[in-house]
Amino acid sequence: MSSSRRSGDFQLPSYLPLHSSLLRKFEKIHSNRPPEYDIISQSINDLVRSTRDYIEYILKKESGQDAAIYVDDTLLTNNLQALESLIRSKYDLDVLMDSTKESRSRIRQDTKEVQPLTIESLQESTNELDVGQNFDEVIISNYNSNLELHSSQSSFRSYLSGAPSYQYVKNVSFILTHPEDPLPDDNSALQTSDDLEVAGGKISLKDPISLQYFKDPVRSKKCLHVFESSTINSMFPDHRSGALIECPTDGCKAQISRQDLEPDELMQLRVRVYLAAK
Amino acid sequence: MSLCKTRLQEERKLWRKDHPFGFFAKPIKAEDGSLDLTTWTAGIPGKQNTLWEGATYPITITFPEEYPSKPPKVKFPAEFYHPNVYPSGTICLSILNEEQDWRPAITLKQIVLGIQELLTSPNPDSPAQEPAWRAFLKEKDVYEKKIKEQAKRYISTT
Repeated sequence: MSSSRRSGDFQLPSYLPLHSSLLRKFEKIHSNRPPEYDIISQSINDLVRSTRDYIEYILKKESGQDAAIYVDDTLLTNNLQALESLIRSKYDLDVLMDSTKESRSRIRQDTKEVQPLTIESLQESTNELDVGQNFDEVIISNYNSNLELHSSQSSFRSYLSGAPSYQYVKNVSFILTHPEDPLPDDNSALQTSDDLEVAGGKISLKDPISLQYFKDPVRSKKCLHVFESSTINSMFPDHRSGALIECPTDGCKAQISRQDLEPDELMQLRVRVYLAAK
Repeated sequence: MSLCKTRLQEERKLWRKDHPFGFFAKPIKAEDGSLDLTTWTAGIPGKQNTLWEGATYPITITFPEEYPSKPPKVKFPAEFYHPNVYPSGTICLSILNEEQDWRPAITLKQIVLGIQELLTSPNPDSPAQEPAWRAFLKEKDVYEKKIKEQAKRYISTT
């Protein structure tokens, strides 16, 4: 195309807006996700499922107390690494797809603004349009500038820590090797740090009401304090389902109801792993 | 087993494993020789470099059936001299009051440390007996003399 620029007075525009009748077809072509995207998504799901299956195996296996569980943290470490590179690929593809979308809307915009191409309008668009780029080039330059924007900052890292699948695998793999330690800092948004049940830097694996190891831990959504399901439930008056009680933790001002309690699988995992290693 | 019993057994295990220096706490023996986990005797050492030092003050701790929903009742001997101790010996302390700061997660260790703190830092806003409260506010020398006399009665044996 660029050679056409040197062909004398009459210049073909290097960038041609599509005729509106072709636009719908064009959009269809470019709106499909590349097949790699689905393969990557599928692989991410598979990794998370295999991790979840393994964790469930640990949680179920030990409840019988008989069989010693075989805690294989290399499995999860490998899963975590694979997951990170998959998410990276997906992230890059997202950037590419965003750029494609952006370019497409630009094409659409241009098409609406110019008359269908005729000999007369060609002359006009030659004068008026100064796009100077192929569609492909538009996408690639968008992509590159997007990529620069996204990779220069720590935006992939924050994207990664915002991905629930990654957080899950990361947390459970950490707990397998450090059942008593607080989760590393980067998900501190989930914790109210110094408010957690910490004893000498360790997380208490015991219910603060019965002082026994958790079997079926539940966590208050309001204050994140963890209790054994049966003991915290015995604190509520029977008659009213929506009744509020003070959080049994000393110094905690939260008023909690039964509806605020949700199962705490990570705590359950901590206890199982810890007791299995003892 | 009831929550009260379970919790008290764990409290006993924890205490035997580790407890603050100078303190003691143990369930009393019933007449038939078995342990009664719902009543404990304990000793609170006075802090060093205070009027209270050199003595270990005896308390009895009674756990109600509803423990740990409800707090234990903690008593010094009757007529114990302290602004926040009733003539009966019952201790007036917010963490031991169900209507105030008691929470089921408060442990025996926290309770005895709280009482040790109360000895040297009385709360003038919640008087429980006339003589010690009045002396504490208005006659410091009388107060100090009384506390020192009391310390002699409970001299630490070790």
